[in-house]
Amino acid sequence: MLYAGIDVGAQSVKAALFDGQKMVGSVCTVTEEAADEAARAVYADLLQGVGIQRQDVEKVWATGWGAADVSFADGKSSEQLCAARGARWLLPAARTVVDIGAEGCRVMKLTPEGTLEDFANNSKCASGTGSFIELGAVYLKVPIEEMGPLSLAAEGAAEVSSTCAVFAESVIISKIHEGETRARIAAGIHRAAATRIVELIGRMGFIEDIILIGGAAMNPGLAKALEEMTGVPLRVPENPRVVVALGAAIQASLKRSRRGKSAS
Amino acid sequence: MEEEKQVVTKGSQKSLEVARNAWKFIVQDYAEGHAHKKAGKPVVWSCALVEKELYHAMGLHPFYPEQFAALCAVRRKTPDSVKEAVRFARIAEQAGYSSDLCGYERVSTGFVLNGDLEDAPLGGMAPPDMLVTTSSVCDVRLKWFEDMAQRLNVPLFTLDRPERRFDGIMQYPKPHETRYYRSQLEDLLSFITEITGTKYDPDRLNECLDWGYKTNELRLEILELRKAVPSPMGCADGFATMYPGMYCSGTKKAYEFYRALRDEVRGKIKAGKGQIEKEKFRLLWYGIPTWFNMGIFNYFEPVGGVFAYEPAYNPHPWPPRNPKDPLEEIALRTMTIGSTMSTTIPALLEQCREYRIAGGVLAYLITCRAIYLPSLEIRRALEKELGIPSVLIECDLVDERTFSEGQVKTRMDAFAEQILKKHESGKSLNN
Amino acid sequence: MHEIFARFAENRHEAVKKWKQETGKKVFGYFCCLTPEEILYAADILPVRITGTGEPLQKADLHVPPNSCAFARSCLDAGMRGMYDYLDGVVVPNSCDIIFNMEFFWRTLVPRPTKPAMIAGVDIKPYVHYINYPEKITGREVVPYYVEVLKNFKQDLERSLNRPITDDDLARAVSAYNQDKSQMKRMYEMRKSDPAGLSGYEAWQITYSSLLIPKDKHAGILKGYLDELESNGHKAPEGVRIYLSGSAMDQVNADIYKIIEESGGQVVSDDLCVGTRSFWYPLNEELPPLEAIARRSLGTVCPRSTVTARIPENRWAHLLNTAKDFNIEGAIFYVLKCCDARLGEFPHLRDKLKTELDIPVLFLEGDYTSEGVEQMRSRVEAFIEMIEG
Repeated sequence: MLYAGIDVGAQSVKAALFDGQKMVGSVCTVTEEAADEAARAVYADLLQGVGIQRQDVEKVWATGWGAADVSFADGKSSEQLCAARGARWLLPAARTVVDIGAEGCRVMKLTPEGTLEDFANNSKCASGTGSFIELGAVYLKVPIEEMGPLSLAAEGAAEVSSTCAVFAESVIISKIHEGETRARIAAGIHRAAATRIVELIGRMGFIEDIILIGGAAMNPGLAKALEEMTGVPLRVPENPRVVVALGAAIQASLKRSRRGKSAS
Repeated sequence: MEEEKQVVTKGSQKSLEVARNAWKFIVQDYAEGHAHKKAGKPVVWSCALVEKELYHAMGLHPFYPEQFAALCAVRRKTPDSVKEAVRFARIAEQAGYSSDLCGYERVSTGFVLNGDLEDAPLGGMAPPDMLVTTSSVCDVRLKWFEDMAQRLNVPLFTLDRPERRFDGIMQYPKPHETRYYRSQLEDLLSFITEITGTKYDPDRLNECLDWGYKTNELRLEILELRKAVPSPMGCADGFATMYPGMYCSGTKKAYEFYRALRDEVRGKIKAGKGQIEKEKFRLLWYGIPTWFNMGIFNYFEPVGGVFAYEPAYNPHPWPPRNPKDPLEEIALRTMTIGSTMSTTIPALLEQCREYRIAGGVLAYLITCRAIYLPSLEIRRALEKELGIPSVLIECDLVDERTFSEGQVKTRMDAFAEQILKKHESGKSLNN
Repeated sequence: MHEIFARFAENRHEAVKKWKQETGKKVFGYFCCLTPEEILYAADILPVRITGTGEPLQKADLHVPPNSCAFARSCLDAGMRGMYDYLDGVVVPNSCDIIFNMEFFWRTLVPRPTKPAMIAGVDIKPYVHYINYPEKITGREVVPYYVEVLKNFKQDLERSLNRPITDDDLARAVSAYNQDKSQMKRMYEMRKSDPAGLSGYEAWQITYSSLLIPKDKHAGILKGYLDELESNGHKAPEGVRIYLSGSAMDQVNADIYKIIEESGGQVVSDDLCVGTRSFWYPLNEELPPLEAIARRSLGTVCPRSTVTARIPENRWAHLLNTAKDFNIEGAIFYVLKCCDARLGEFPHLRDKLKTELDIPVLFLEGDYTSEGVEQMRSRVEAFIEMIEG
């Protein structure tokens, strides 16, 4: 049986197909359309890519920021639960899942059996998220996808002491005036973001294996900064952006029924 | 202001010899505390505004988590590591303590959670036999010490000082208030006796109170001397030298410390020497300082500005010695103070006149609500009643992660310009 | 929901002003559930709990700095905007560092309807009354001390109102408060069943309105209402059984109850100022009434208070008392930003809930706005889903 998961994020929609054993297809599209339209389009792409019809899919499960708007979903689940399910399925030794997206960072703690035990979000501000690195890219006048490689090219890192995004511009400009190279500043920005993320992981106890997922997980500079700071190897699955969508599909296969009000 | 240096966090330059050497007093006091513990004698962790003479009379050596946190704010484990205060605050935050909480609480809680009390500056605080806190100044110390007692599994005593409000003239406390606080002191003594076996000896307490009283008188004298022009002792000196009076009151060594300080200040006044060569304007620092960045007190010196007065940690006049009933004396001493904006603000205005203050730097302490709450009212009163401008410096007491050097520099530069403009236009700066 | 409870909970100012108009009696505003409001009731005054608006501040932000309790600042703002102009007096206890400063702020910044009566520099008919509540609520001398404080307060009131407050008046107040308490306790008992006898939101409305309606009246209406619910076999929607810990749950942040319900949960008990802490502690009718009131007020386990125990655990004891027997599956701590007492106690209580009751805890940091409450929805959903498994 096939199950589909759709993760409607703020900047992109991801969809994954699960056959009970593995992920058989996935799509990730950056979109500005409204949630329901975007979800429909991405779902259609997924079906076409795998070569199946709607009726071949047993259940469609939504998650993410726009989950409630997906009109054709059979149910929805929280991103925390889906991240846990997806990461655990791909990497059975997963105990801590770190999901770094554009708008937020959340850390999930799993029991030894793999169920979700606790979670933490960065609720306060943008620092420690992809947005902070994006801001850095803007002020350094560097394309976002080059930020990671740029930081890796640096020898050492500039001291970006303030982790507050409000002061990011003035801090970066003052570093440039001090004669710091762009590479070192990029490395400093990654370290600053990583500092915040590490604090969040710490709240969940640093229990290995620690899995990194989400868009920002594709940033090699961030992964390196995180590994250096935690002193612990981080596992990054093959397609980190669709792990949550996969988790939604897995959740659908478990046929959860919810007490109280539900989407179905 | 183009030549102005960056506000980088660093230590302060003090103008007095005694102030420059004050750190030795602190190091020595910690060493004595550790030796005390090693010799099997009892140690208490306490806080400001508890009457320290009681500890010295009962043979306890006190350590102070709040002071320890300030120490951690300036120390690093290795030249490359973050400040110890940041290391400990992180440990606490990871255990679930919000970063909005008082910096002192986060740092000392992190120190405790770290598990190894010696993995810290000056060998840390020796393991306590008891904790004693007070309701004076703020509520945070009640929950903070409760939490430490639960974590360390060590008995706690809280001195409950009723929070008085005055409306107008500072009055003596009502009988039921003093009676209640006195019962707290009696209960504290029983508590200490139960834990340590030491019996309360009024003669010993009187001895300590004699030293304490004399020390306080010296500190009051120094406070008076600081009114001189040019300013003989600044805020950097003041904050560096508050330790013996705040934490060792009741000992001979504290008295001797202030005697030396008083003599040096007298000498300065006699020689007509101030903190700097050309004093152009005098500033007030309101609130607890940015312990991680004491260098801020030298910031205005290149343009002739000195920090002349700080209300935090200052002594207040005590009722006279009452050797026949020292507990009553202590109760009265503590009950004549309270926290209310009704008196804080007029008192501050008076002090600005006395110390000829031209501008106020208000520590806008984002995690110390007790001190920071009157800030806006103070700024308004300084402007309205005395025509004195002030600047708000957003900061934490000990956690430098929230300190924005660039923002602070900008504000302080603009503030200094404002004051110098008045100076150049001939308006009186020294009120 | 009974029409009267809903009316007061949804539009408190209008409802109280109407009551004042109809009865011609006085209304005093007060902060905090530990305030000895029974004394006001005894003087024939309606005591109403002061709450804020949740709207952006219009005036108070020029006086009270931002890194402090948003609830207190909003209350002050409401006062400065004239929303409490129907109050004949205000009572401020020494509860937390922020609230006790409301004595200064309210006195100097909120326009008062009555003129001061100055004699030799002292206002003998103060608008704002301060109660020097102790910080340690147990101890051998605390009751005599606090009874003295209340005597002074009572005398100030008598002089302001120009009427005596007799022991009979106080005894009547004690009796009325006890009657309301017993109905409130009865209501909470009904939530022990599964599903609960009434929803968290309904319970909140009833509790909130009890702080706005004279206790004897509230007790009467509540009794009738609970009789009706029981005979109808009324049940709340099923849901994961949640324990809610927080501060002043009012019309701004009570939407959290709805969010919890919509996410598949149901609040069945709590540790809230507008919750168990506003009625849980009985008044001992065998004692002289002022002492009974003092003891009740001292017995209120506010997070900021401490006790004489060697290692204080009175807050854990209160949580346990209000959580056991309710079959709790998860706890949600809704703490306002910068609330030192609650932030300081949280890690310990969270750990104890996990080790002693084996329940997971969700921490939500509030900013006292309805938008802020809405933003918590996804985390509440995730938490409840996590418990369901």
